[in-house]
Amino acid sequence: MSKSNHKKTLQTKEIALLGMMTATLVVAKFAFQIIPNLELVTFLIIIFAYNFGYKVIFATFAFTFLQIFQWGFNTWVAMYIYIWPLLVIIVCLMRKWADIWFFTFLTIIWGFCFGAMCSVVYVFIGGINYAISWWITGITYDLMHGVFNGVVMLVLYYPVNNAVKIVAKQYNNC
Amino acid sequence: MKNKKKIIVGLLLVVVIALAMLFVKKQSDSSQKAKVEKGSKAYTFVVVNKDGKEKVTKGKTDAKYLKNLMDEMKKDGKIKYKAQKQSMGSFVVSVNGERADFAKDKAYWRIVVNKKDAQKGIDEQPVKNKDHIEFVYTPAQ
Repeated sequence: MSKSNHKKTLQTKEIALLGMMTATLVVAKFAFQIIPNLELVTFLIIIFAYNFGYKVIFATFAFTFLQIFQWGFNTWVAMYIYIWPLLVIIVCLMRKWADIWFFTFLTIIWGFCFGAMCSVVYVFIGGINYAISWWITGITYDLMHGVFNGVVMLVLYYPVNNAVKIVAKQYNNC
Repeated sequence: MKNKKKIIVGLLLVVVIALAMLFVKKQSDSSQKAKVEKGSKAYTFVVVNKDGKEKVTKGKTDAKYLKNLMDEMKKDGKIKYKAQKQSMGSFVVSVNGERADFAKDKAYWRIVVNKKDAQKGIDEQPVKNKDHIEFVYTPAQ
């Protein structure tokens, strides 16, 4: 097989890695599903994207697909399709500024803006006024979401990122 | 030093965004509250048609006179009515599509407010809190 083929298709080790990331995301989502807008998914996607790059977008798609089996097909699917890949892209583009503080503020602001990002879908469903009122109704939850994201990042960044760094080093040496 | 600058900028950004969002939420809640509070007078509006069937509408209003209330209800789609302008004031000839024009139908729309016949026309009949207003199709005797 030529080198150019390797670049275009996913390798077996990539598929295995993406599988593990997807499983981790699903379990993390499940862990906090009782509490609305409080989740570990944002944190994990940031850490994964920081260590493994753009390929994490595939894991986000797989994660969204698996969530359909749990939650059913609804407007949230459309939201997840653009929101999580967008987060991966932002993290990959801003890698050079990455440290605990950058990620903490990114994840807080991400939480604050989550509702606004989701409301884009409702522009096409009910118009811009409907989307805006939908967003405003959930502002309190968005603020909670942002604060929780920040706390999670501050507490878990070093232990989780260090562990994922080891995995990334071994993965790159394969 | 670089880290300190990053933390300060980040904190400022977070605080500004949070305050902006709280402000938007507060403004939205205030305008919703204003909408709900508009209408400090409760009313019950009953239309009794030719066959004796009643159509009851309840709501809240700030309307001063019965005509203002009926115009408000017409705008909200709760009632349809037609009134003729006469020297004494507006005279209701049709309610919810049912005509009671004295000259043509030998009938009229009797206005009853709180179980008593209204002494004034719709232009001057004041609307008070908890008014029970009835428009009763009444054949001439």
